[in-house]
Amino acid sequence: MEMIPEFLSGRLAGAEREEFLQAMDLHPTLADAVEEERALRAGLQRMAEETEPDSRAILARIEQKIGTEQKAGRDRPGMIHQMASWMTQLFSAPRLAWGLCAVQALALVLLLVARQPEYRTMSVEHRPHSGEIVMNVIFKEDTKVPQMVLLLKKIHGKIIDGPGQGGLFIVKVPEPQAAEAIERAAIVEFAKTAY
Amino acid sequence: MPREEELLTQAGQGDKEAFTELFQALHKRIYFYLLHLLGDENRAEEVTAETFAEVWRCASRFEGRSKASTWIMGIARNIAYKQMQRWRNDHDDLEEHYELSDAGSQRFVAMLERQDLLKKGLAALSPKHREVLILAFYEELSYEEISKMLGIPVNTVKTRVFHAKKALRLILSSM
Repeated sequence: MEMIPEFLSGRLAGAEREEFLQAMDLHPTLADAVEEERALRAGLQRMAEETEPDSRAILARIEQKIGTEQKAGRDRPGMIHQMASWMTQLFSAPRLAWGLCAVQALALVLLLVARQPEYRTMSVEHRPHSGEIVMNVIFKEDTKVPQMVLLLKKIHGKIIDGPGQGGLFIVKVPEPQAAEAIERAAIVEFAKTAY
Repeated sequence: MPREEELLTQAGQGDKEAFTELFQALHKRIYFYLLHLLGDENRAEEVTAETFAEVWRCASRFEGRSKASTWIMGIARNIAYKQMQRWRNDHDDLEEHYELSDAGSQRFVAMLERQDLLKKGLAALSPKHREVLILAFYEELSYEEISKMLGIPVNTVKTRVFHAKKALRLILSSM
């Protein structure tokens, strides 16, 4: 029975088809089932041919559905669509694109010009006693704390503030020779007298 | 690639002419299937339109693993079932309203050849039975194809086809 669709669709060939035909001869119920299915197929086929949908109306409905969605999409663009549209406009308008480049270039120049110097010598808040010198000092990055302590002990210096931005220390020393010693020290990156 | 699959692929790339050609090639089959699933011309037309609108929207997802017609029919079926839920269209199994008596095979064949009787007989079947008869004997889908489309085991398809034929035979015998 399961072979009936294959037989009716002409998908059985050769020996299989012969076997099926022999089985139909031997089993009248199979032959009846084949005839019923053949009649059913033919009946449905005729019925389908006689069925006439209103094709134009259906197509019009489809176009309306698709058209409405596309219009809705245009009327209510989401943020991404707005951005995409703006970017498209931007890059398809040479003047606007060049203008944007100029603004970016100007911003870069301003950033470079306005960049803060790497080290600044600043006035000091801590008023030194007479004879004492206050210095802005930055030690090298790999300097260890004991090395700093040793140097300061040697020159009788004292850290009075820091480390601040960029590792800046405010150091007080008792005499100009000590200030010179700090400036010459191997562990010091930068040293200047504060004013 | 067969023509309909080619048209569907082109429609997926936004080709509206290909889509229209695909519609012309397949809409009558889809409508016929839906007409028997829904049992109402207006609803069948509405769902046919919604089906092709959906085909236009998601044609790019067609991977060519089935025939274009089967793929579209699957979409039509999903939409039809959703709509049926919305319409709360619980079809009665009219089969059960008939006083059924079996007729001989020759008489059954003779009745199948009469359009008016076949139409009435199909209308009296349950939507599930009508559906498998259309898919198996009009669309000539294999049991495997029907199984994939309906999401049921092949053996269930075979049983359903058997019972659908039996029900149709009994209904026609009672007319």
